[in-house]
Amino acid sequence: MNIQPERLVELNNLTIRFGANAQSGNATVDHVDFHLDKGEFVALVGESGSGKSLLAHALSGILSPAAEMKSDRFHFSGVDLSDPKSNKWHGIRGREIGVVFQNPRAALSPVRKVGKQIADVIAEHRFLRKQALKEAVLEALAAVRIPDPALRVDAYPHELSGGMCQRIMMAIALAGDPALLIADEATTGLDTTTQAAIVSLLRQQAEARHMACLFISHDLALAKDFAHRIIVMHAGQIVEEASVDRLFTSPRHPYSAALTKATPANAATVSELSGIPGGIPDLRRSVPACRFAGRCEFADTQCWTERPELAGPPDALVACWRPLS
Amino acid sequence: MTLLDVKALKKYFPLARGQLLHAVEDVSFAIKAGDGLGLVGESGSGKSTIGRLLTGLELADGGTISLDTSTDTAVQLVFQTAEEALNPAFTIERNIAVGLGKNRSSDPKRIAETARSVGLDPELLTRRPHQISGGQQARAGIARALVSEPELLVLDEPTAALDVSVQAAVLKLIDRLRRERSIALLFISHDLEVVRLMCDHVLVLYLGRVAEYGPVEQVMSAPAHPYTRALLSSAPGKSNRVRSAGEALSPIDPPGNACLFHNRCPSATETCRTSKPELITLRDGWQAACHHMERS
Repeated sequence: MNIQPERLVELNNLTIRFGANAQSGNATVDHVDFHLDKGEFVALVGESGSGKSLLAHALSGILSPAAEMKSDRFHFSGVDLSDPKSNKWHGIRGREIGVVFQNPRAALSPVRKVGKQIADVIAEHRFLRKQALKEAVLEALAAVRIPDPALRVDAYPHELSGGMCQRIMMAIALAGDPALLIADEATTGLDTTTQAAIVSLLRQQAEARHMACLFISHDLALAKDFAHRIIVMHAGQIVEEASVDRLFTSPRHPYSAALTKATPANAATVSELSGIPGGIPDLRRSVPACRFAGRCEFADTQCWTERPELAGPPDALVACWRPLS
Repeated sequence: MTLLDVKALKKYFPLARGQLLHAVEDVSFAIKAGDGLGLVGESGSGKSTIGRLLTGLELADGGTISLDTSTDTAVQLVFQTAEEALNPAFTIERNIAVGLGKNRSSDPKRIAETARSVGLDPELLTRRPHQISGGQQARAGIARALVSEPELLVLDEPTAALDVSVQAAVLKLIDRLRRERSIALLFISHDLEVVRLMCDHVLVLYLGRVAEYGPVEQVMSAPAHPYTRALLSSAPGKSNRVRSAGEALSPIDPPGNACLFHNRCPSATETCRTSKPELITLRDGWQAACHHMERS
C-alpha cells in the first residue's frame, strides 16, 4: 500500500506490552491501526485505562522504556519511526510532533520564568540571536493570546492561572511549528469557560498552520465539538472509528452507545442516565476476545472466543460481532 | 419547611501585607427539606468555601447559618476525592464508622446496611481505600456521609474525578438516596448539566458573590445574568458560544463599587465599573445581580 500524498501518520498493527501482564499475555494496546491526514482533527475517547494516552505516547516517541512496542509499520511524513530508539526521532519528537498534557503546572518548571522556558524551546529549534529570540518569545505568547506578553514574560508559573499555564504549554508545543499536535486531556481540570477558550485557540492555531490535531479526552461532548473523526477505545482496543456525525447520531458499537447514554448532557432526567456495568477488565487476568464482552448486554459466546476485527466503510468502522443498526 | 437558611454569609482569608481574599461576600440562600440546590461557578468562585462553612470546616466572618434540626450530625459532607474523604490506613468499614461521630461506638449492622444501600459489596468492608476502584471509593465516601442519617448532604464535586460511565451510576445513586430518605442536597459542581439533572434550584456564584439564583429549569433556559449565559454557552456541545474574554478579576481586595464581571462582560458599561449591582427579584424565587438585565 502506498502512502497517499496527504497522509501524515500511518501506523499499522501497533501492540504495546508490559511485563506486568506477561502471565496473561494480554497486550495493553492491542492490534491498533491508526492514520492521520495532514491538517485533520481526530479525537480519541474512552474511559481511563482505555489506552488512549499510551497510544499518544507511542505516537510522540515518549513511551516508557518499560513498554515493549511492536508495529508492522509506523510512518510519519514518510519517515520510518517503528524503532522507538531510532535516531530518526531527533527532529521529529517535540518539533514535528508537539504534545500538550493535562496538568500544565506539573509540566512547567516552577523555578524558571515562563518566557525563559519558551525561549529554551525556541532556541532548540531555531538559531536566533538574543534580541531576535526575545521577539520570538513575545510573538509566541501573542499567538496563544496571552494578554500583555511583555509583562507575562517575566512571570513564574505559580503567578499565572491554570488556563494561562496551558497557553504557555501550547506556546512551547507550537514553537517547533509541528505538523501534528497531540492534546492529551489538555483541558481537563480547567473551568468550562477556560476550556472553551483553549479549544477555540487550539482550533484556530491548527487551522492557521495547517496542523493535524489528535485530541484525547474522556469528554465526548468536547471531542464532538473539536474533531472531524472520532476513535473510541476500550481496554486497549479500537472498538469504533467514525465521522463525528455518524458516531453521535448512530453509534454502532454498544460501548460507544453506552458512553453516549452515560453523558449528562444527553439525558433529560437522572433516570434517563445509565452507567456502564463493570469496569475496564483487569489485563493481568484472562479477558474475553472482545474485551467489552463482560460489560455488554448483547454479548454471546462468539464475543468471548473470537476477536472482532475493525471493519466497515471508512467513515463507520466498528469492531463488533453484534453491532447496533 | 426551610431546613437551612443562610443569610449574608461572608468569608475572608487574610494574606500577607494586610491584603484580604474575598472568598464569600454576602451570600444568602435557603434549602427546604428534601430540596436540591446546585452551587455553580468557576474555580475561585467560593463554592467549595460555602460547603466548608456549612459543615463547620471553616468559620464564617459574617452572616448567619440557621439549621432547623435537633441532631448534631444533620449536615454531612461528601468530598471530591478519596484522598480527602477516606483515611488510607483504615478499612472501609472503619472509614464509614467515622461518619457516626466520636460519641458513638461502632455499629457493624448499621454500617453493613449503609454499605448495601450505596451498592457497596459487604465483602469490600475489610479492604482499604487503595484496594477498591474509584467508583467504589466514591460510594464509600457517600456511605460515610450517610451512616449518621443526615438531613442535608453537602456534595463537593462528588463525580468530578470519575469517568462518565461511573459518574452516571453515582449520580443515580445520590438521586435515589435523596428520594428514599428525603435528604436535602447542596450540590457543588462546575458542571451545569449535572446540576440540571440533580437539583431543583441553582445558585450561580462569581468571585464570591451571587450572580443569579433561581429554579434550575428557568435559569438554564432563560439565564438573566450575562455570566450565567457565558457559563452555559461555554459547555461543550453548544454551537452558539458567547465569549467571555479574558481572565477574572483578582479576588484579593476586589473593588467594592463595581460589578466584578465587568471586565469580561459583553454588555458592560460605565455603570458596571462604578457601581455594584444589587440582587433584583425577577420573579418569585428568581434573582440576579446585573445592571443591564433588560438590555442584555
